[in-house]
Amino acid sequence: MATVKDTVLEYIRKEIVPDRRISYDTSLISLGFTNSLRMAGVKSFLETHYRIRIPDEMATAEAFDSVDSITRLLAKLGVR
Amino acid sequence: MTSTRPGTVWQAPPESLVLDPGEVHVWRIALDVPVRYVQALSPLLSPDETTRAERFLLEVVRSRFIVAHGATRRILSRYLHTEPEAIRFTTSARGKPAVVATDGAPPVRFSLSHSEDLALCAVARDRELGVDIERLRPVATWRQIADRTFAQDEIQALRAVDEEHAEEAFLRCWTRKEAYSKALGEGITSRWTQFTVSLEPDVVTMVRDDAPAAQAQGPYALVPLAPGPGYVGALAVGAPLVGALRISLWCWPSSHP
Repeated sequence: MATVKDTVLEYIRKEIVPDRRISYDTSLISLGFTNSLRMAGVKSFLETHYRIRIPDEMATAEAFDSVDSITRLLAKLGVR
Repeated sequence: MTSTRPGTVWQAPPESLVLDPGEVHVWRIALDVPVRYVQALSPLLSPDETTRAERFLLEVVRSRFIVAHGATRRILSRYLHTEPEAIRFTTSARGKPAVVATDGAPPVRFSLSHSEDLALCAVARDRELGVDIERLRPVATWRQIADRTFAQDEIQALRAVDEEHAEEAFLRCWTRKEAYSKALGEGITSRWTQFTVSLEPDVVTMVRDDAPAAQAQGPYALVPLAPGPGYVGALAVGAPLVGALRISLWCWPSSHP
């Protein structure tokens, strides 16, 4: 079974940055790939895939900046 | 309120700009400009804006950020009668930016949005407003986003759109909801499922929002914007909506940037 990190990485590579060089700690903000629609896409994917609800106050650009930061967000919500 | 095809004709601004109550000016900012423009705009940014620009690793992204924010300062300075670099911004607790009022200067409210190589900056004196622009592009997960983010009536309306035009309708809906949220200073929240915008193209429509806080602010009109080929945009304009609301669409840079 894929780890949470690899599941998130696969989504990022498929839907946001189609570049195999994207790694766990790549900052999407630094690449200019963070916008509200992409964040909503990530949030919708995570909520559907893991059957969770991400509270508004946790859905920040910083929380969605990298695979690592998204993994930390998920861990806070009990997804490991 | 406006002509039947609002938000379509963008013009070079006049030398002298007047922004009266009842008027909204929307500026379309071209972000991919010659490097000398970027060099001229860069010194106008605040230390905070410069830090944000320097965070971008890609030159094209950094340049677009500098142009969007530098041009916005140039634009706002025309209404504030002050130097672009002297303008100070503040943000609300939920992140809505505003111009810090200075003694004697007329108030100005603004909203800025950018997508790829275009930005929109909307300006008014007497009302809240929000603007959003999106590049028309494939959004593979748009149905998932809509199902989790939009109001039921919007989801139903999207399902009625034929496959060929559904993605554009989704992005039209998105820009309208984001423009309205920016006007309210709310950002993208779970409250998006509780207010409804029309998907109808090319006409001014009203937001349906029964939340007490929204009702207290008064009605909001949504003006569709056509920033250019391959883009969709929306302007949310708050009360007062009595009488004629005049919307002017200006280009930046004009012939004399």
